[in-house]
Amino acid sequence: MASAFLEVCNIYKSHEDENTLKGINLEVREGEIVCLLGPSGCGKTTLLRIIAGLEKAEQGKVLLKNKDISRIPPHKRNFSMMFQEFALFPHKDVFENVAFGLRMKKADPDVLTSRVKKIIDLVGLKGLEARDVNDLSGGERQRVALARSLAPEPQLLMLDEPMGSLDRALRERLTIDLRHILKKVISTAIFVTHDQNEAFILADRIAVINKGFIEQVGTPQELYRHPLNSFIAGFLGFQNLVPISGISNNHFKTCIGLIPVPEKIQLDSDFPVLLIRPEVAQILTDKAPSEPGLVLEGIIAEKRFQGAMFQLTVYTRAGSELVFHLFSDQAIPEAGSSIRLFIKSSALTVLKS
Amino acid sequence: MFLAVFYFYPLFRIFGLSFLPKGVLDVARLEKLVTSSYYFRILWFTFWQAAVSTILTLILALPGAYVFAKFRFKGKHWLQAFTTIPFVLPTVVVAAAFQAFLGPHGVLNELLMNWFGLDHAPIQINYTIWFILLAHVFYNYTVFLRIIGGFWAGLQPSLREAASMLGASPAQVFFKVTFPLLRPAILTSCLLVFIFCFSSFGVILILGGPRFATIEVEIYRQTVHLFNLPMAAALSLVQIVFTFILMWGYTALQKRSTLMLNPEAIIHTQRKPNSFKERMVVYSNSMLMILLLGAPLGSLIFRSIFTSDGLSLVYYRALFENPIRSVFYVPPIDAIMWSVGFASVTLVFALIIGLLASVYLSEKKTGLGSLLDPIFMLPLSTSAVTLGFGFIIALDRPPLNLRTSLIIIPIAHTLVAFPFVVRSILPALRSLPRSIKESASILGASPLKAFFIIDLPIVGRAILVGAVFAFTVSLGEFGASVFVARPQTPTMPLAIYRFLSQPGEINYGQAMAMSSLLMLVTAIGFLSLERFRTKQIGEF
Repeated sequence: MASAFLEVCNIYKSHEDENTLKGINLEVREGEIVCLLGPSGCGKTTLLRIIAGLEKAEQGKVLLKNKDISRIPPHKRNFSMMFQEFALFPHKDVFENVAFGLRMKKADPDVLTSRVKKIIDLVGLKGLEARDVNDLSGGERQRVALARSLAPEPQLLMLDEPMGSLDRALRERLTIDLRHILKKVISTAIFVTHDQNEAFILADRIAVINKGFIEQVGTPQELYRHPLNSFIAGFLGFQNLVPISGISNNHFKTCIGLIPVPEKIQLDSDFPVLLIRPEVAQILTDKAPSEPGLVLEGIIAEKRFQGAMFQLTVYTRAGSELVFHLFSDQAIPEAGSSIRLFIKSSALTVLKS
Repeated sequence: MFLAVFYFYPLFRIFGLSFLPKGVLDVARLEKLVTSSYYFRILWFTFWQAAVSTILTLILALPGAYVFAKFRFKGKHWLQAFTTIPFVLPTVVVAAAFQAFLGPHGVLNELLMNWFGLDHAPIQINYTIWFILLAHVFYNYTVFLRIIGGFWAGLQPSLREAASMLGASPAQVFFKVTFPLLRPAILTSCLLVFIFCFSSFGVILILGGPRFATIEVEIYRQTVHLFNLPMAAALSLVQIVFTFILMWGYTALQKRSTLMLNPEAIIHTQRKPNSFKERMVVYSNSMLMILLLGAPLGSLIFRSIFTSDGLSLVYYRALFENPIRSVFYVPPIDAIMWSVGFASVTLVFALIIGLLASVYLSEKKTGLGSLLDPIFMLPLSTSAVTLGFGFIIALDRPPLNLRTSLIIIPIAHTLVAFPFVVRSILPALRSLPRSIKESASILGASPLKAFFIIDLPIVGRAILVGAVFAFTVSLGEFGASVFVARPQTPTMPLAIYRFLSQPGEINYGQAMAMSSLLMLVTAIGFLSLERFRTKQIGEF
């Protein structure tokens, strides 16, 4: 990759508690929104703080346009950061909070006023300029924090769990708004989250971090289609992960039965795991299936209506529990009755454990 | 009711006496007070010594507050506990400790004389303003350390980081973010310390000598030495008015300073000192604390066991004797007995009244309750001296003649201790979720039973804190006792005061010995509290 905007090279950092980093490499292109996704304590926030200059790495360096910035203090980097709890200055009103960065740059007063007003307008807070930040709602505070970090036109915007302290409903709406706003000002951004939905909505590319390592980097679609291992799959919300105990006769041996190995798959890992996407199952009719696949018999433990889909929890004969989404326009047996499902081999994904 | 009789009635009498000395309205005396330059000088002195003490303490304590707020280091817990000792010490003990440290026969002077072969004491600060200021710094250092340090530690580090990300240099971060956020805490604690210094009595009476007098000291002199009761009453009035105004300002400020920040769990904001510079800052501040706070206390103990013949417990033994030429009518050991007795009675009184008041206040949050809350705090803002003075002029004739009764001392002490007890218990009671009690009553507990099986065990610790406060406040109380105690029933601080104001090695030694005892009791009481407390002691 010729011109990475920001390059993180081989970062190591040990902490008293968890949050350690063990050799992180990451590239961010100009204008791109990259998400660091991982469970709490995986080190994603630490990585963000190292890029910001708020913490120092023990090893490795951070390059900005091929220049090492590791020794530049945070206030001289022209980066911006939106903090988890927003960290609004409680002694300043909305306008002064947003204006803070420009004041530090000693911006011309007229330019400052018009720029601040424009940004406040952009985040949808017009008319609240003189409001005390302590009197704002959670969503408004988040917008002020965003406006404050955008106002000085940073070359890199960082967001640490930007939706973390908001409630669910507000979160979904603001996440979409946030992407619009970020794309409008064409800012390069890195943000941290533990919520895969948020990452899918916001990010151009996602880096999944676990226990101090980057496990996989890719676009949301790549990640969803081809999660590299069972940790990533589990973290993205997939529930049907079936261990493979061996291969015989071109069939996987699993606890739910023998499954014909799809042609394209080559096994290289010792104990791989099979991922069955919830949307790939079909109710088995009397007709024999036209392609190789798995016939699954079980009892419906739970049947939940979700609009276009039913979510079924199925107990298989062998005692495992699998979740499937089936279109609700077909006849589906009630909970407690038995069901026969067919899963095409070509829809299966084999993962590293 | 108790407050009404023993608090408002005496104060009311002061008003009466200052305006109507002989049953007729006489403004002349007040006029004299206002016009006479002597009294103006007293007022002025009271003001500026309090202001200078406050500023001096602030300057010394601010770095300490920073260190406590920002860093975790070895022995910090220990140091923190240690720094609370001066604040809870009786004034008389502080005065005695400074005599022992810096007085003409103090430890430091003797050391210097020995080292440099001097034949007179090089440090002559006895009866100078520096002595008073130093003692006030010693006394109030902790107030700043606690209030500002606690507030500072609660500031989210992300606020500073946010400013820094927005391009603020470290200096700009301090002046644009940290300092403005700390300002309410600084102002509040300054005002509190100012109030303490403004109504300082024991320290100035003992360390200042005849040359210095605050309003408090002058009230005492007018009453005890000159027996000019109307003048004392007029001065008390002035004192009351000023402390009320200051206290009112303080509560207003305190309300403002508590509202804005959501304090971070402190553990996250503190770290180990990393660089050499940071370590130096931590060490030098710790040293300052130990030196400033430890030296006088150490000297006190040192003085009490080193006689001119070397190491000996002769002073302690002397406490049990009553030589004919003693300044006492009774053996000093009796003072200890009386003190412990009074303190026990005070403990019971203050706990009963304090508990009742707290329960009442915790249940009634509106109307009468919100009105009573500040009223219950009033005795805290009234100086002990005005209280004691009010007692002797109010309770010496029917319907209440307690002047000669023993009970008057515990009553006075209870008034002084009562706000501390309420402030210890009330937050604990208020933090009890209402649902706990409600679930107890739904499960069939009567209100009384619910109180005993739910409230009491949960707030038990807070009650213990209140009890220790009541006991030690009573043990160390000086300002009011000096008025109401009779010569036959002296308390320990009174005994120390008398020892200190008499010449002679044995008197001096006995003062040191008794102060050491008082200090140890108080210190042990509070240090043991410190071990198992959850929040800051009390809520001021």
